Amino acid sequence: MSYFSPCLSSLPSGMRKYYGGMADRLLIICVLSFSLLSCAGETVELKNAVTAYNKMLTEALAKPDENIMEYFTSNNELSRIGAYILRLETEKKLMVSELLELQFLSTSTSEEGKTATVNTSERWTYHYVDNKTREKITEEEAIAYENTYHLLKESGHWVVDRIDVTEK
Amino acid sequence: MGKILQAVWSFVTSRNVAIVLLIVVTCMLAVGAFLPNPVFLTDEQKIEMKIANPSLYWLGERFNSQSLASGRVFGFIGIFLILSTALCSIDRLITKKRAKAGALFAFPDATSQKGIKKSFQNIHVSALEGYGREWFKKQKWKVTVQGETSCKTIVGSRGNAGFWGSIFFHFILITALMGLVIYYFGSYRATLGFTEGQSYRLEKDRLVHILEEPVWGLSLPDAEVGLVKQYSIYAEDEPLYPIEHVAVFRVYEFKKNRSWDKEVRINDPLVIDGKTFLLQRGGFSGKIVLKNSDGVVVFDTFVALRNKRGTADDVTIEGENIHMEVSFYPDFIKKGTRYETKSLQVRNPFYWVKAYRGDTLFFDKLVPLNVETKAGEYLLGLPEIRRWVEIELVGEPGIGFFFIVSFVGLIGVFARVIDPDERIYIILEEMKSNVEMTTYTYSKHFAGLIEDKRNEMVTYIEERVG
Repeated sequence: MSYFSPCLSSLPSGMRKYYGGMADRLLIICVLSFSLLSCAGETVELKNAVTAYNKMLTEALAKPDENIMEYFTSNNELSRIGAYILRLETEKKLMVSELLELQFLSTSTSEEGKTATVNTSERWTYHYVDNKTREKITEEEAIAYENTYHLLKESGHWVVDRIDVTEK
Repeated sequence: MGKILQAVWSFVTSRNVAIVLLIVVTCMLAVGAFLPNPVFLTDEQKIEMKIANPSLYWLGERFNSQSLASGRVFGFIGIFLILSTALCSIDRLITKKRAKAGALFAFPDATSQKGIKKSFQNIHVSALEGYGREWFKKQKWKVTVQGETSCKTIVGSRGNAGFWGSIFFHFILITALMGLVIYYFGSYRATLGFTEGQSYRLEKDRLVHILEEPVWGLSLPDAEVGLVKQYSIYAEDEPLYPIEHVAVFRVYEFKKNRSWDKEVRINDPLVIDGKTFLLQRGGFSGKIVLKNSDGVVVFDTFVALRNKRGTADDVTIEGENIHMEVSFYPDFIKKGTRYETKSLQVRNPFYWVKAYRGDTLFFDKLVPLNVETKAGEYLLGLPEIRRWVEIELVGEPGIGFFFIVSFVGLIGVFARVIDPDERIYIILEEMKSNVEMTTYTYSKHFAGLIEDKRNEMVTYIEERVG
């Protein structure tokens, strides 16, 4: 049976079959198009969330102020960043980093749409500066990662909850 | 007196006058579009232009398309066109009424007056009249006959639907122009400023600038709005050129008792209770703390840096007679003796502060973020950097209505085109041995086509006569 108009039943059986089949096909095309569009939107949102996270992370480490990450992370991840900044502060240094390349390898969302993972390939450079004078205290280092970001949907937007880091 | 009134009536209802006014409007806008609008220039660009090309600046300031469109000339033309269209519709209805009263038979001025005369032997006027009627009936034209048995004037006419189409278009035009009037009196534009972390209830006092306000006053949604975060994404190879600006707002609506977040982008505005807020501009907002020699805080506030892409501004501390020039370098680098920023991302944040007491420079130094420095007798602290954004409350009531109604009005124009005002006059005169048939035509817009119709009709009558 078609989900389309019930008036199909008033048509002769041959026509009903023809139009019914056409309606089914239309329905499938609509559902597929809708799913594809929804998926595309979700993928863009996930990519935006990871891009924004990395951008804000650079600033959080350079300021240093983990609170600016609040909108982009879960409490777990925020605590992790806070702990890292604290460690840097005890060593009287700050990290100045630059994301040179962020490539998205794959994205996936759970069935309920509440969790997602994003796989990336990243190239960074970083160095440390004195936390008072901001004078460079180490040489610039380059590093490449393949990361898996685990994201949660909180208050209607994606936040980073955890990152599995693999150095290349 | 009658003549004067007639002249005024003709002038006001004249389509040509309306066309001339529309051409004037178009030319003014075209010229205005080429002139620079100082509103869209930065302060530096304004100064540069004032020096390099003062006359162009003067012209641009007064005659740019934005100021022209909101000027009195435009307002007058708009109101005149509404009046003109309304009166033109009334004029047409009067003309139509007169035509019904018999004026149809008086040849209009535009009649070709080129009569085609044919002579028929051994036939009565009534027979020819019958053939004429037949042809008009086939064409679904309206037929009106006047005269006596030996001399008749038969008029076939069409264009009734077209006439009402035209009237419909005129009335729609009045309605559409009313949309413009609503826009003219009801549009509003006002700006609000937020620094990250700042939130407040939307009230009129909070508006930074009110550029336009409806005559019935500006009402704001009953909500508290706060800027949670602002960030921008820059092109990889052009770190100073943004490809996206995002501002995250948290909204609490008092009446609905609900709170929600919204990521506002350039073409994705914040909408609260039907009111639209567009992301307009932004920059860095630095916290500046100044303590005097006794350790008393004399200045402690976030300063929105509005110049040089939101990285520089002047600050005056009046009580202390201090003036500061503050430049912020989010990603500081030194090129020779010049200070620059590599990108607009906070990676290596430094301030360059020049402080004057009166005209005397007493501090000129590069200061890292979050470091307290001695500045003359003061202690200068720059503990925090945030971002500020300006959003614009924009409402253009009537504009959407104007476009929709204008589109609907096209139906009237379409009806006018498919059913134009056309007439064919047949004058039948019974002579001694024959009947003379003279035909005339009238078409308001399609003079060539009506000639073909007339020939077709004459041929039809000739064939019917045999």
